[in-house]
This record gives sequence, C-alpha cells and structure tokens, in this order.
Amino acid sequence: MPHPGKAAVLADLRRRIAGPATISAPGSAGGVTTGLPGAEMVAGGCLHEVVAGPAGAGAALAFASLLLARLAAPEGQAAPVLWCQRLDDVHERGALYGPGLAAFGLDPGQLIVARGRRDAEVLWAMEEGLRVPALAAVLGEVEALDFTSSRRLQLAAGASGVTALVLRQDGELGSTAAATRWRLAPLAGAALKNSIGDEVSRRSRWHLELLRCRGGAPADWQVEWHDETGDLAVAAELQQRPDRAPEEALVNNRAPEEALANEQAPAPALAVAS
Amino acid sequence: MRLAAVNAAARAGGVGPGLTLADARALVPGLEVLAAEPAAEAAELAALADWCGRYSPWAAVDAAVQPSGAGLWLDISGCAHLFGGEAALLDDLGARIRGLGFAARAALADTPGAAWAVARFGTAESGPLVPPGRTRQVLAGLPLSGLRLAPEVAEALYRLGLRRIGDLYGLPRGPLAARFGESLVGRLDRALGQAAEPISPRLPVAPLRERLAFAEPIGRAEDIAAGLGLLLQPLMRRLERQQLGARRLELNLFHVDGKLSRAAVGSSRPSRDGAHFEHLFDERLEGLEAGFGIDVMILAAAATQPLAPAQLGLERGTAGRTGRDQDETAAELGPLVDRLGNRLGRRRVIRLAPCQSHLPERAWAARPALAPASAEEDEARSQGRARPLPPRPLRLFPRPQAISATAMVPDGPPVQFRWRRQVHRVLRAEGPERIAPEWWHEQAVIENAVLETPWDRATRDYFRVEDSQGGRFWLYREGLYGPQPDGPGWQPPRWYLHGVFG
Repeated sequence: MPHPGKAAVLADLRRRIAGPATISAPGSAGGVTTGLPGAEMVAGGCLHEVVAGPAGAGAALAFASLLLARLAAPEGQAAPVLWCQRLDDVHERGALYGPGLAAFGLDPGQLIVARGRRDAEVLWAMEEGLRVPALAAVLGEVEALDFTSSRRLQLAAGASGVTALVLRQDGELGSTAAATRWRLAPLAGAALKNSIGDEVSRRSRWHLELLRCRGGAPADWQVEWHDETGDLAVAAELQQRPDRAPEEALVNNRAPEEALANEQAPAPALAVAS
Repeated sequence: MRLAAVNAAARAGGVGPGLTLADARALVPGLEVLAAEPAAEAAELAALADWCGRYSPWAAVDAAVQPSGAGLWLDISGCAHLFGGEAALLDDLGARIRGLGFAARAALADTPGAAWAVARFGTAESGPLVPPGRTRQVLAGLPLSGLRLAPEVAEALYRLGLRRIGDLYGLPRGPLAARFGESLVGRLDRALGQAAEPISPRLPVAPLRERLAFAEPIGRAEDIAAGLGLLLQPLMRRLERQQLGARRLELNLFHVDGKLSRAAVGSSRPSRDGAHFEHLFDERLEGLEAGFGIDVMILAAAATQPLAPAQLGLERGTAGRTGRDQDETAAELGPLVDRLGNRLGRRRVIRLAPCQSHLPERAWAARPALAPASAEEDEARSQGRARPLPPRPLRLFPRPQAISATAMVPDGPPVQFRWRRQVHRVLRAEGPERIAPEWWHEQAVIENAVLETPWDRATRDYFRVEDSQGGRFWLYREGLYGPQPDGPGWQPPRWYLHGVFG
C-alpha cells in the first residue's frame, strides 16, 4: 500500500482539527453556506454572535437576516423562525418591515416575533424557542451578552439542533461561548452603472469581520450584497476610506476571488432625479 | 346616627339595632361605638362568598340589607355527597365560618326562601335542616317577617291579626294579591317551592370541574404542583370523553383562613395536553403565598372548544426537520406561542401580515401569531407577488421621524439632513418614488384650484440615501412645492425619515 502523500495527510489533519466555520465539506445538517472564502459554511445547532460595529446597526441586521433566511429555507422548504426583540428597540430603531426582510430571503410569513421588556425576557424567550425542534432558528436582539447567558444558549442550541443567533451592539466584547462572532460596519456602496456609464444604483457594502471562531482563524472581508441573485460576494476592489482604518481585524493573506459579476445591472426600478 | 349592629353584651344591656346613638349611650353608659364601613363589609362578605366556593360554585351574596344581618346564599344541589351528607355539610360550614370569627347561623331547605326564614327565625327543636317535603309544615310556624316582606305590608298584616306564615295558607289568593300586592303572593309561592327562585352565582360556573380536598392544609409549592397534576389528569380524561379541548383553565385555591387565590391560563388552540398546561401554571403559581395553608383546590375548564381525537402516526418522535409536515409544526408552535404569550403578554407575540394598502406603514401589520390568515391577507400577498416593489427598508419606524433636511427645491434629493441631533451628509441618493395618499380614505376636497388640495399636502416622495458613514436611510418629503398661494393654510413641505436599510 503506497504511503499517502504528505499533502493528503496535511489536508486530512486540517479537516479534522477544523472547527465549525471552516468545514468545507458541504452537507453538514442545518448549516449555512456563506460563500466567503475561508468560511464557507456556518454550522447549525450552535450559537453565533453578530455585533454591530460603529454605525453598523443596519449592516448587522442585514447580515443576521441573511443568515436567518438561509437557515430557515435551506432547500426551499420553509421552516418557522423566532425573532425576539425588546419593546424599546421597536420605538428607538424601528419595527421589522416585511418587504425589507423578504429582500434578504426571509419570508415574513415564517417569522414569529416576540417582544419583551428587558434583555432578561428576550433571553428567556430565546431559550424557550430553542427547546422547540420545529423551529429552524431563533434570533435575539440584546444590548449585551455575558458569558453565562451565551453558554446557556449554546447548550440549549446544541441539545435541540436549533441554531441561535444573537444580534447585539458593540460594547464590551468579553469572552463568549458562541461558536462564531461576527462584526459588521458599513462601507460606501458599490456603484452599478448602466450602459452609458451613468450610475443608476448602488449595492450595499459591508466590512465583515470574523472576530472569533471556535477551531478556526479570524478573518475579514469586504462583502457586497447582490440583491438580484441573493448572494453575498467578496468585493473585487478595496475601498479607500482614510478615516476608517480597522484596528483589530487580521487581514487574510488570501487574494479575494473574482466574484463581481460582469453582467450589466438589470433595468432599475427607480428613476434618478435629474 | 343609628346603631347598625350590636354584640351580645350590648344586647343584654338593652340596646338593639335601630336605636339612636344618644339613647343607646343613655342606656349603656360604657358603650363602645365603631363607625360602620359598609363598603368594607360588603367586600368582606363578597370574599366570604367566594371562599364558600369550596362547597359549591353557586354562591351569592344576599343583596338586601336586613336588620337581622347579612347573609349568603349557597346552592348545594349535587355537592352534599362530597361532605358526607347534608347535615355534615351544614355542620362543617357553620363550624368553619364561626372559626373565622363570625357569628353565623345556617339552614338548609328545598327553596331559598324557606332556608332564609329558617336560618333567621328557626327554632331549636326544628333544627337547621328542613327535610325534603316538610317545607310547608316547618314554615307554618315561623313569623311573617321570614317572607322578606316590605315593612308596610308586614305591618298591615300584623294589624289584621296575621302573625305566622301558616295563617296565610288558607286565605284566598285573589283578594290577598289585590289588597297587599303581588309581592306577598309571589314570596309565598317561592318559599313553598311553587315558583322558581334561582340564585345567580358571583363567579361564572364552569361546566367541567375537578375538586381535590386535603386532610391537612398544604403550603409548599411542590405539593401545590402535585395537587395540580392530580387534578389535571381526570379533567383531561373528561375532556377527551366529550371530545373537547380546553382553551382556558382556572385554578381556585381555598385557604383555611377564608381567602381565595385564583390562577388562570389560556391557550390559543384547544388542547388536551396536561403537561403543557402544567408548564403554563408553573409561571402563574410562582409568586403564590400559601398563608396558613390550602385545603381545597378546584380546577375548572372555563372555556372549551370541540377538538377531534388526534390520530397517532406510526412514526413518533422522528428527529430532523425534513420529516415534519405542517400539522406537526403547527402543533409544536402552539405551545411555544402560549408560553411566550403567557409571560410576555398576548399582544407581544405577533407575526407580520400584509394588508391591502400601498402606504408603507399600513402595508404590513402585526397580527397575533398563529391566528389564521384572513382572506384580505391572502389577497394582499398574491398582489404583492404579482407587483414587485422598489427596495424597502429593513426597519420602518411606526411613526415617521421628523428631520430637517436641505434639498434643492422643488423636487431634488436631500443634500444633508439632521436627525436626533446628528448631522448626516448625504453622498448619494436614489429616487424619488412617489407614493400618493389613498384617495378612497382621505377626503380630498378640491376647494379651490389655487389652493393646495389635501392630496398634494400628503403626497410623499421617497429617497434612498447613503451618508458619509455608510448608513442607508429611507427619507421622504411630504407635500409638493407649487406656486405659493395666498391662502393662509399653506405650509412648506416637511421631511421625514421612515426607515433604515441594511
């Protein structure tokens, strides 16, 4: 029997010590494909934290909705999803809007929204939801998440197989029992030009950082949201933003893949004011 | 000021209810006087009537205020066997109420009127219990005031020489009614059982009830939970036999010191799942104070709905979401929504449903989770699929936030705006998207061709803007710029922020 090559052994070892977010083999039950190089799959059945960076509340919400949408309908079969939020969030930051969520792939008909008065009630509602295997995922919006609460959520998610997502504001980023921790900040949008070179609309762009990943390496990307295809893609060119140097992210050595589509943008639904 | 009630020592001194205070003080110099509190007394009596629910749910307060004291009605048809007979029930009731500190007399008869008379005017040899069928004989010896007559009627009868109820038996009814009114004849008929006199209970009586009595009063939370479990099983079995599901369960806990604690839980779908209701009750019973102990628990199904027996599938408990069908999912979501609703409030567990409106804030509304989709909703959903809209924000403020914005007049996008004391410089804007008010709702009266119509005033032009920090907002300008009329009612258009994009 020929000795397996060194490369094969290394690949096997890498795969064995790989953690939830860097498993590249598709088909792990309940996972989410993200299409990001280095973190193709986000595993289901555990807790993921999404932190909003400075001015990143909208971006974090969009990313969380995206993950939730992909968890709810992995192959087109829709499963219900529980979203827990605080009542004063509704007044301060606005209520969830159906068509906006639908744009990220989340069918509002599958959504159950529970509103509590305090963080403690939101966390309680999340735990109750995590005990019901019929749900695809549970998302909670809290101000801050301490280690004990994150551990409870992680254990509840692991017991039933329902994925838990926590959407929180930037603040004390202490230790957590979550499997992954993401942070988002908005960037200037990518211009879509029509055939004569005029800008007709812009795509949302975010600076997405994977701050913590159990069994994997932190990374960051500049991603772009393609509304028409429903894909998250890594931006081709880096944006020059002199007043926003990211401090903590470790820049990956891998070259960003060619992901920006060459096709022309479809005819826009909006007319630009002259 | 007149005396309302006296105790035995004062009565021995010669004072009685109805006497003026001055006369009473003259008769008994050391008399202690307390102010009467009718409201507090009424509340106490009502609480006692509720506590008497441990004997029978048909408990009511005797509303009429009589000089002979306040009273309670209790209809114990069908309850006596639980206490070992009617006599035992009377003894138990009397002993407990006297133990609570009241001076009380109880009587049991076929009709409420007879019981009332025997309780107040009954003699010792006849006893408190009137055997069935002997009402007429027992009542014959009681005075006429046992019929609850008006004072003038009683006085008139007295002057005629009629002292006992038995004197009225032989008299012809017609002249009696003509002379003294229908009420006299009516009271007599009701007391003898020839006319009905129903008792309306204080609390609504549920048709399905289970009762549990303890020999020793219990107080620990685990014991209460165990008692609840013992009550739930037979109740669920009875529901199953009648093919009903419970929507609302009420638990009444009767304390030994005359108090009553109540806990109620509701379910959005009819259910016969004992474990689910136990879980719901756990939350309610958390803050319960047992006080001196609980000796009777009664669980009642206050609201029920028909529920067909569930068909057991061959594969139970299959893991994985792919094996589920819609009914199973709905069956699991129901208890979850109940638990969330019972703690957070039923109106706080919602789902988003489309409505038939193109105004953004009215296009989607919150509906109770698990409420079935109405026809209007299905219609709105199919319309939404047929006519895709321009991009909409992820979050929408229920009330658009007023901002101050700088823009090119008449219809340019905003260049900068100020919201929550922060200035946002707009780098790029897309739009406008015009949303006009719904003419079928507004009363768009065109008063004058020169003046603006309310239509113009409420027309919105929406812009999607991106600011220098990368935040994306949905702004709109309400109102149109036109040639300024001379009318006084014209206001310049205002800017609002309606939503936030991702």
